Amino acid sequence: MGLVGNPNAGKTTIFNALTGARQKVGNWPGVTIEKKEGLLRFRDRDLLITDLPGAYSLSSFSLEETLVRDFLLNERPNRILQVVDGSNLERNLYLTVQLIEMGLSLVIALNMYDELQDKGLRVNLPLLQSLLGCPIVPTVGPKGYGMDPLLAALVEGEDEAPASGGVHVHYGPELEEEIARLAQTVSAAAQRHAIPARWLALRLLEGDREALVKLACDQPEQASGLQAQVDAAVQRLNRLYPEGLETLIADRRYGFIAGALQEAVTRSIIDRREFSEKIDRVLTHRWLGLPLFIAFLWLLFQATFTFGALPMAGIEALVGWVGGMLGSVLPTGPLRDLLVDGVVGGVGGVLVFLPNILILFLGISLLEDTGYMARAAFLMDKLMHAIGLHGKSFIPLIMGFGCGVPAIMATRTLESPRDRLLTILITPLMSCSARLPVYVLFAGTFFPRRAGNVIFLLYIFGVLAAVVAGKLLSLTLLRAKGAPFVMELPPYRVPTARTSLLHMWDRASQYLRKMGTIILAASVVVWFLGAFPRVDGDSPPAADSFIGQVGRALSPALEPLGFSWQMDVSLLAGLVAKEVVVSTMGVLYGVGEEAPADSEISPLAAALLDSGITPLAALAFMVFVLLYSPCLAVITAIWRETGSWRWTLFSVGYQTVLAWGAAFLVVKLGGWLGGNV
Amino acid sequence: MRHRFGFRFFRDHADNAASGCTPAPAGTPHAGHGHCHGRLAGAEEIPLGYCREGDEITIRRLAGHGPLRRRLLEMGLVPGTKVRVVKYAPLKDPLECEIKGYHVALRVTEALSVLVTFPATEAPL
Repeated sequence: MGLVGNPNAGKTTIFNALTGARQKVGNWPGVTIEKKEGLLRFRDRDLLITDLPGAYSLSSFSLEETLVRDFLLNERPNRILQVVDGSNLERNLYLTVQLIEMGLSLVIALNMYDELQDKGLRVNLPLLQSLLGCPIVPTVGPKGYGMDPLLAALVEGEDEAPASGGVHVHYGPELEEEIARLAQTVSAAAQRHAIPARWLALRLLEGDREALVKLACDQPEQASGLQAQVDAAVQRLNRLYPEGLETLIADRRYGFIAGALQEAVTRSIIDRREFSEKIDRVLTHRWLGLPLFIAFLWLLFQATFTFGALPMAGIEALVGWVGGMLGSVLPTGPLRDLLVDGVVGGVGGVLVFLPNILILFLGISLLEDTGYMARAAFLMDKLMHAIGLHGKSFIPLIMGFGCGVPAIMATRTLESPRDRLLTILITPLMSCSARLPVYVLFAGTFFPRRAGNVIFLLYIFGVLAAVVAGKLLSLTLLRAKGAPFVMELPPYRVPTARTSLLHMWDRASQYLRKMGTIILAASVVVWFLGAFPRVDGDSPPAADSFIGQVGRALSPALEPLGFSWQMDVSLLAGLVAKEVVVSTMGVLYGVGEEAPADSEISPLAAALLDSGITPLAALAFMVFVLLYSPCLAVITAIWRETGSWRWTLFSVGYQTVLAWGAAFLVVKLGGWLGGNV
Repeated sequence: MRHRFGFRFFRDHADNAASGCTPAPAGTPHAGHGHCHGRLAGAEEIPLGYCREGDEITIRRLAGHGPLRRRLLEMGLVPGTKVRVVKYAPLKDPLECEIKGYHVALRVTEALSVLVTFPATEAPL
């Protein structure tokens, strides 16, 4: 069973309500970017539901729409559930018409039924059902309203043949004639693929060639004949309709919808200046819009640092206590060192930053769920366009503040491959939450009174780097024209506490899982490399250990930046995951052994201050961490999304070069301005 | 009234009307304050990208072709549809419109390919 619908119609919310799953939802078009499956039981039947990305139509305009169309064509699900945004009926029903034409067995969830009623609309459901020829169930996704009737409707009709043929849009005599003629030609192929010939004929006339000519003719020699027939038909029709065939088809479909709605929906007087527009009078105001947007981001990062710092002391004390206890209980030896220095020092150093990450993700989820994210794209499109990007690129870029992996996947909402590639290449420059621990540690240690501002500036610097890189790339390697900007602005919605907390918990558990696996493993490896080869059965002097040797090998390259070899090694280890930079430092500087006497600063901070790192080198280090090669998970995501090793390697390479250059500039400029800040 | 601000923008673009669109006449039919519908002779088509905040107009046709045109049609910008220009973004691009009860943002250059008329001049399709 497939779950389809327009972007932002609430498919995933319905999916979650039906299956009890916890997929990510948000109030902007394009949250779901991959299909996801969920299994549920209802009246002793197993239903496999596939949540598909949003589609305005099935004309394969974007990657997501292609994915939906291919799913419907290839998998031929026996039942389709279309989620329709009740507050936006007319446009949502356009997809319904296409689905009906495909001969699919359709059930409609009339979602956001509450908003529809608030708008002053009353729907005669039985009438609309008979006009569209499919069952319609009113639902309210976040409240779980209407789920049982919806399941009942899905199960009841499952065994019946699709009720196609009964209802169809009449496209006018001339077009109908061409459709009928073409349908005859392709009828055999249509039957073979179990799709209606009428639909196939219509798609051919609409100009959907590459996929469908292949489908219609299994022999290539037939394809050219069919192509010619289609071309001739299109030419004839275009002569008859100066507006063009596309306009005619869209016009008739919308005409059909308008007719159905006119009969089945009554509207009382609506206040056209809705709630959302009132909010937008401030939030996208000519003068206030952009400053407010920047203020929101600034607030988010300040909150991340300030509130995130509150529980930090407690977590640090806990980590210190565990380390101290293990240290006193276990006998001296490699095992004790491994647990205390490797595991507690490494993982504990990263655990501390859990509150920061929770707050950051709570903030991002609030921006998403309220619908502000779409406004951000609206506000920023002009600027984004100026640097060769698309307003919609902005959403992945903002998500990049959270984590690069979902951000890079979110680029799928971009329609042109060139815009996608460009966005993918610069998204890792947005400072992800994994880099935050590094800033919190270094800025907190070396710039204690200005930490919030330093971190904010780093984020801004990342954005600027992305802007410059984007502009340069669009002027050189990726010169093609970008896609048009046509974006729906959903109404503002009050986020439910459940969704926001769900996001936060999702992130927290991901972070904890990451610590239990990647970071733990990396900490142990780093500890091992630091503790061997043994000298007289004991740990070697740090510089002589394996890791010290690696560090020394690296240091000529990073020497000009003023980094210590411990920093070099941390950077290398940070390729696994950026948090590992901090955990590696925790291991290399041998903290975790005992809780410090004064709890003013953390043991790692104290160790860093003692190590002779200058504030300038610390700043250069933060800039380097900000810009250098993305972590393994992101590299994998880039490879998967671009499907090209060349672009993946390019991404790693250019960012590392950029990082080195920027850090070098920081050191030189800082030195020139008078050395120690 | 802040939506009057669209005026200057409108004039800037009027001089280099996109080719392929019906160019707006030099006098820019609804330039002054208020909507001087009466001054429009016949079904004067102007690009949506020239309209000002608050204008309520009807789509007549879509110029151009290709994916943009198809996307606009699918999004409901079909001839005969009523559109209200809600606002321009702070940087004067894109613009937000209300059609069929929902809000959509378009770039000004894209809105130039949507040709609209004012209600007083509505001609039968």
